[in-house]
Amino acid sequence: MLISKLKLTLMVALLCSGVHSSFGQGAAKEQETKLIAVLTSAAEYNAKADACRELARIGTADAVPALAALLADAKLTHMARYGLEMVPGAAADDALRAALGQLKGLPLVGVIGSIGVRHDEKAVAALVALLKDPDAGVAQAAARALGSIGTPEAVTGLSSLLPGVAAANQLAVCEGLFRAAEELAAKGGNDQAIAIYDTLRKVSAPPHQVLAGAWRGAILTRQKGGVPLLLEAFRSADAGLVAVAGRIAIEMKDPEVSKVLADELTKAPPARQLMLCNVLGKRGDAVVLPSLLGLAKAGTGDKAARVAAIRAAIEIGDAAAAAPLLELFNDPDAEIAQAAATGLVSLQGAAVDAAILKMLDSADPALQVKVLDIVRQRRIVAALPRIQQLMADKNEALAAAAVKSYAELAGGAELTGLLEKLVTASEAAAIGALEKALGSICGAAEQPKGCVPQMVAALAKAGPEAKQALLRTLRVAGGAEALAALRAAVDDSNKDVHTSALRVMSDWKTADAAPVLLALAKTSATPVDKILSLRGYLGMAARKDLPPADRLAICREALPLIQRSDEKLLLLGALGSLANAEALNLIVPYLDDAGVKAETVALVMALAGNRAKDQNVAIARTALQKVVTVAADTPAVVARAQELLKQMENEK
Amino acid sequence: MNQTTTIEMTESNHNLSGAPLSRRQVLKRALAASSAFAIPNIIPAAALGRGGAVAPSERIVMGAIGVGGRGSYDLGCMLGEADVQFVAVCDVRKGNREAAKNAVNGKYGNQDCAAYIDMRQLLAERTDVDAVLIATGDRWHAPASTLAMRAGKDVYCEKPASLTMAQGQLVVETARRYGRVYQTGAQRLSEPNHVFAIEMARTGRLGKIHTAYADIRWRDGMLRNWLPAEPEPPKDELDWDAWLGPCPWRPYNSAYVNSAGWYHYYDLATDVAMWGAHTVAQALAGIDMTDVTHIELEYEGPDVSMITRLSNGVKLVLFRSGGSISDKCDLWHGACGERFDGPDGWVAAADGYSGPDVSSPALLREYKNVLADYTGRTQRPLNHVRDFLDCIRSRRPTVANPDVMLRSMNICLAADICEQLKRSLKFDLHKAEFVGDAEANRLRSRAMRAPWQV
Repeated sequence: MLISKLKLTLMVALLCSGVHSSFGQGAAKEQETKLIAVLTSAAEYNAKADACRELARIGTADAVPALAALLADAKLTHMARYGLEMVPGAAADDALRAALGQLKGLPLVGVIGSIGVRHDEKAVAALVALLKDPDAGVAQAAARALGSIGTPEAVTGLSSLLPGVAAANQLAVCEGLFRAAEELAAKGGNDQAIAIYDTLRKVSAPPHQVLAGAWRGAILTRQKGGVPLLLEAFRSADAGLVAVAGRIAIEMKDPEVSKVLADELTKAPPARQLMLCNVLGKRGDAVVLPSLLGLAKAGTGDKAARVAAIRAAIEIGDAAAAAPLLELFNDPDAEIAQAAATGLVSLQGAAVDAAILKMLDSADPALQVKVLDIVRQRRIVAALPRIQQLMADKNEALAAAAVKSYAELAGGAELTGLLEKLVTASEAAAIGALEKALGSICGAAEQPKGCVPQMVAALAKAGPEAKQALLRTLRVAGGAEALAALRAAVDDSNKDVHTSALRVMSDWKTADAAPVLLALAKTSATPVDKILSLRGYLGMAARKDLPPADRLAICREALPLIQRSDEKLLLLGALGSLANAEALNLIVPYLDDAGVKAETVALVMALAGNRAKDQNVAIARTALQKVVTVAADTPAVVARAQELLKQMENEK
Repeated sequence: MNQTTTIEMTESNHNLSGAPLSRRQVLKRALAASSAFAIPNIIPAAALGRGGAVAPSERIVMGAIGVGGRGSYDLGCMLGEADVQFVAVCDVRKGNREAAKNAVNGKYGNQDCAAYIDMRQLLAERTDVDAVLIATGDRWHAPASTLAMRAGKDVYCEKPASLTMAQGQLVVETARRYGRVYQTGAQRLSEPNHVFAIEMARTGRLGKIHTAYADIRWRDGMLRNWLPAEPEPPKDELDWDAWLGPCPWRPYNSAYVNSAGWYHYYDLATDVAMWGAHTVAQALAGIDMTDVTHIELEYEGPDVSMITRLSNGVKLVLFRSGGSISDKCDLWHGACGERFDGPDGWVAAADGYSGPDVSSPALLREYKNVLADYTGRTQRPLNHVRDFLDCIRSRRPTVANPDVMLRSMNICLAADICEQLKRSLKFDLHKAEFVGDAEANRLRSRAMRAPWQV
């Protein structure tokens, strides 16, 4: 018996193994026959469940008897429906319908649900009878299923029950009626659907969502004819209904609705105006812009409504809003002006750009400054020539704002002009803004190195401050030519330029600076320069993008140059990040260096502790033995070192 | 253009949230009066100058259903919102239930949070609850959302939003039917880097998009076997029947419930849709879908990318490779990426990286402008939870509303069915059915187990 069951299980596993490559009718029928055989056999529960799942995919009327026979099986009833729900044709309907009179409890609830999924109109009478079943689960399932079937007879059954329905079942009956109304409307029965929604609107003490749904259905199903009802809801004293109306109005696609609501805007009290603006913005019909912007410009109007109107106009996103927004941009009320500014940043289109550019010619410098900010945020590159003029304005605030905007908007085409300005600039703020612009241009260029020749040429003409700005920007551009220029600047007679060059060099992005830094660390005239160069060089040793061998070589080259504890720590850090035997070899001598002993002990312990088994055993043992000696005054460290040594005893 | 170019953002990308004031103010006065409608009494005093405090009567009252790993994370995010008050949590696992209850009570400094095992009880009893967070296992997402919206609650539900197309359709219908606000947890639709990528594509800055990519580097939901039966825990510890919910019964084994072991099983989860739900919605958001009627899915094998073609000519690549979701790839840095290719360049965004990837760094100069345009045009914050809460107040559709959810989930689930059947398929997006393939159409739905049918 057991062997037989095992064989069956294996067979089902093969049948249901997920190998579902396309196969012809014959093969499918053969597979179906085998699956049916599993259902009628003594196979295990899971084997039968698997067979049901597969029959959902390929089963035909032939599989219905075997599946239907399991509907009363408490364990398999669900999987039987799993199969039956998907089997096409009347046989499955007949089987499920027949089961209605034979089942109780959960199997019955399940079958009712499947009948609903299959929209079996022949089951309506039986389901109507079940609406009054004492088992609430059965009654509720019947109500939902009847709704899904959605015939007039189903509606009659549900509607007749509604007035005195038990509280526990009220929502299910309403759900059924909603479903039925949708079914009917989808088949052209709008009048019947409207009747259902109107019935639901009048339900006594309805759940709020039922009322919302009923109003929605009543308005949307009436289509154009629903507008008066929509307005009734909007004008309601019940604020919740107003919110429901708002949501419905967003769903209504007819542009005429926008016009009606825009008319309403002028008549409504501020509270309704807020809701109407919310709706009109989301609907997005530009035809209502005059109404919205009229409300926005009404200086005596409610401020919250004015702001809402501006935001709605922005949301509609039509360029026609630009001119009114530019007016509002200069409104004495800061909140209104700010709302308008947000819109001017957001509205897209060349016409909007042009309108904003015109404002740059205002005679009011304070307004010009604000407009420059909009120009900058919108990235109106076409404004650059005008901004360039304003950079020379005698009004300092305006000139500074112009420089800031220019710096953000300038691109490769402006490189030459920017460099000309930089070499002649004297104010620190202007130099800073121009440096930022240069950095931005180089950073955004397809080939940053392409910017270098012009920058190198500018170096020759620049004063010390501008030269330092250029040197910092060379780092952004990178490349051999930039590095050579930087190296030349290290020899600059101006001390600040010299130091800046050295600092930029020590923070260079690529390893080609390493030999230059090493040479400087060896040959520089002052200790400070040597230290700066050495630190930059050691920084290269810590770069994880370089091969470990190169990083180790840098450490070895640096060793004889290192004298101070600070640089020793940099070296230890670089060696620690390598975490190999050679690095550990270079680290161990520092255990004898009083200045960095504590840090070296910690590093050795970390490296030895994190070491993979059988890795670097000899050098790790030597290092730990030395730790035991030099850290004798720290018993915890010694104990841990000894513990690690013990663990290593059996390693190779 | 083959090499991924990235510039790190030097400034925060997260300070561009649109001010939600407008949405709140919209209803400030409108909802001041008493109402037959239990829409939350909606206006945040915080926004009006009470230093962050929001009177209890003005808060959105919430419940949380499914408060395990992801659920507890979401709950933490929502608890941080000043205009939210959680009053109930629900989980079939006692450990999750108690931890969430303690977290809520700890946040508010009281003992007021109620704990439920059965979500139906919470939904029926707590008429004071305006909205629910749903972060159950995937098998429960759509049924729980449907039940909650039918009970009059607005819903924030984690992804994937449904196990089948039929369940997804139920969610859409229920949200419409009862005028509910629903947000699926496709939070990348509200994150700056992803929004930037989407908007760069959508607004034509890359030219007409010819190819979009969505990350689906995840294989799961494939197993059909049962694990060996173990003794069921007491119902109070874990209600196994409710845990399974509408899915086919199987004997209890702790490996299903621990460490999300259920991910691997066909009856309890999805395959392509599991990860596609994280990315496909973003990919679609950047494409003009106006006239798209159908999608053709090309089956090339189990572990390679699936090429799909939209009827408007755009190629949507469901990207898969041999490695894991977090392995390096040529399309973007990080995981859960989407990418848009047009004649004028490409943009990609993914998790775990500082900025979007772009074909040319010059494109990144548009970053702030693009986001400002987005927040102005949509009046949405760049914060997914906040968008949901604002929409509860304004009654507007959320950014990841039911229609957005259904469109992306149906494509994911169609790809799932394509992989199950191991053949190419054509799917009609309007009718939500496969063209000329009855067998595929039968996989769009799975019968639900009583009493958990909805």
